Amino acid sequence: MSPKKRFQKLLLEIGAVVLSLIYIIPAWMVLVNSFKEKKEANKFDLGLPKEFHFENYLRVFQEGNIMRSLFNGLLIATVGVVAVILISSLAAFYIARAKNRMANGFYMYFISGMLIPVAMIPTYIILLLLKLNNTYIGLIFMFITYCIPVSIFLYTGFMKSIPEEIDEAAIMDGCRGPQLFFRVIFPLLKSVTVTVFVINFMGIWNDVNTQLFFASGDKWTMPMTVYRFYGIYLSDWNLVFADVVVTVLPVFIVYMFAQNQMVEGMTAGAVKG
Amino acid sequence: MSRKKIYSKWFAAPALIFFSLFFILPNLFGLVFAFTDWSIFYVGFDQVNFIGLDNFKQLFSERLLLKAAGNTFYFAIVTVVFKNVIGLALALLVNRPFKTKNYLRSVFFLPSILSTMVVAIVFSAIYNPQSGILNGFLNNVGLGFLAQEWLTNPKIAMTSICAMEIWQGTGLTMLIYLAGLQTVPKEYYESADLDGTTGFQKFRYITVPLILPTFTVNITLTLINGLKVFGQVYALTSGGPADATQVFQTFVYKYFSQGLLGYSSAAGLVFTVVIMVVSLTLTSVMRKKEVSY
Repeated sequence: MSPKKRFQKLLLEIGAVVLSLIYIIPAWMVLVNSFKEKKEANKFDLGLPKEFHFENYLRVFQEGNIMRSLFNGLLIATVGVVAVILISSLAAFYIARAKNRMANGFYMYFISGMLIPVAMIPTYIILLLLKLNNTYIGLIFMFITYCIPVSIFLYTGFMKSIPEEIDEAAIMDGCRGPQLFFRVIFPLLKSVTVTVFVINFMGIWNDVNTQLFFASGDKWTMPMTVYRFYGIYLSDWNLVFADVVVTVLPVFIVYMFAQNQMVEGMTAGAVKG
Repeated sequence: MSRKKIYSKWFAAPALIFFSLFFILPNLFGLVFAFTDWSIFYVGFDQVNFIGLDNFKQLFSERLLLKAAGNTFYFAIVTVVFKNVIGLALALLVNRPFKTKNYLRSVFFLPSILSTMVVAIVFSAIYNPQSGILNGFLNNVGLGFLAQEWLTNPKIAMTSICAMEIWQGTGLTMLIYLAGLQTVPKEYYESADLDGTTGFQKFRYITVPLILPTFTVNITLTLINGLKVFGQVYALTSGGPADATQVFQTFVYKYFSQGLLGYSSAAGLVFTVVIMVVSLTLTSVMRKKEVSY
């Protein structure tokens, strides 16, 4: 590479790093101000706090009813995602292997959910009629439903890449139906299962719409508490920011652990389209 | 052992039940509810009346619906354009063998994992006209005349919401373009280099035609996402000031929270039809343009 080209490349890279500040600065603003005292935090200054007020976090936990929301989020997201993984991988197993008209029909039927928006109000009425409105079960059912299309889409795509000879060999050995799926196929789906887990866990954890329509305060998860906090403590940005940090942290940790697999899976589905 | 017996359709039954009961059925019910005067305050079914097209007559006579539709399309178009242009530019950038490549990819993508609600609250701090860091930055670099009341000026509030969405969502668009770029065989560029092709020519004649399917995916995803805008507006402005930022879904929510189930169903139905028409048209137009290789 010529020196001129190398210089251009360096310049471009510096430009890119400067650009990344657009993302770093807001994150920094939230983090430093979450440790400040009220008056100091309300200036949104980017400097380090004069004194670290760790008790902001304590107050968020005590006054914000955070434990309840953390529990809500973990319960709803975990149960929802585990159920979706089971339900969708089984359906995708049929769709990817049976390859008949009914299987194709099912596929189109499920995939339509990625296009058609949720009919919020009729769903609310159905929940009302089933006496499931504002219950954990109702919310979990909703999330399972909304996660099904993308999960079946990803699972079906992945399962088509698993050679059918594997099935045949297992069948020769006497494996049948559910056993074939759970013993032989499901373990091979590990990487796409991680993807499905992460995407749906984040989707549920971050949800706004479903909760605003179908749940009231006591069932709300973390992002909704940020909203409530913001409403109540409008002038206490140190507390609002501390709540933001607590809300973001779990997703951030999940992302750190599953980053590569998640990126791979998400984009694999998207590029094959 | 027949195929039918091994791969039983019953495997799909649980998914079918959930999806049919809680997704398809509500959409079908919507077709019925939209023609009723159902209100949350009715105690029994006998109070619910079919009122023909009254809901729709009232809807289309509301100026607010037009405003909400206009804002929704404005949001969708602005975010589609910027997310795709910037997303593609960033993808080309981080596809280079930079030392900081992995850092850059992670940072640009990171906001995509956050809740809209969280991002919106943080942006309401950034947009704060007195002490927010946006106006602070503009004042510091001598562009103080550009400082604005970002969310309370009805003329620019919608654009401010778009800017937040672009900030948050471009990383995902970038990532999908990046995956598309990586499917282009390197040999194509190498043989183009031998022919002395310029960088722009390579982009125009090799990259673009080969990643057309990625364009389809990204544009469709961002468009549907844009039309479904809700949490961003709800958290930042709740449709205000003076309904200047109402969009389809906040419009539906407004009447839903007033307990007007029939009327808001009708509004939701209009929304569904619009999304379906737009996205189906777009997909069929774009699919025709793709080439295979």
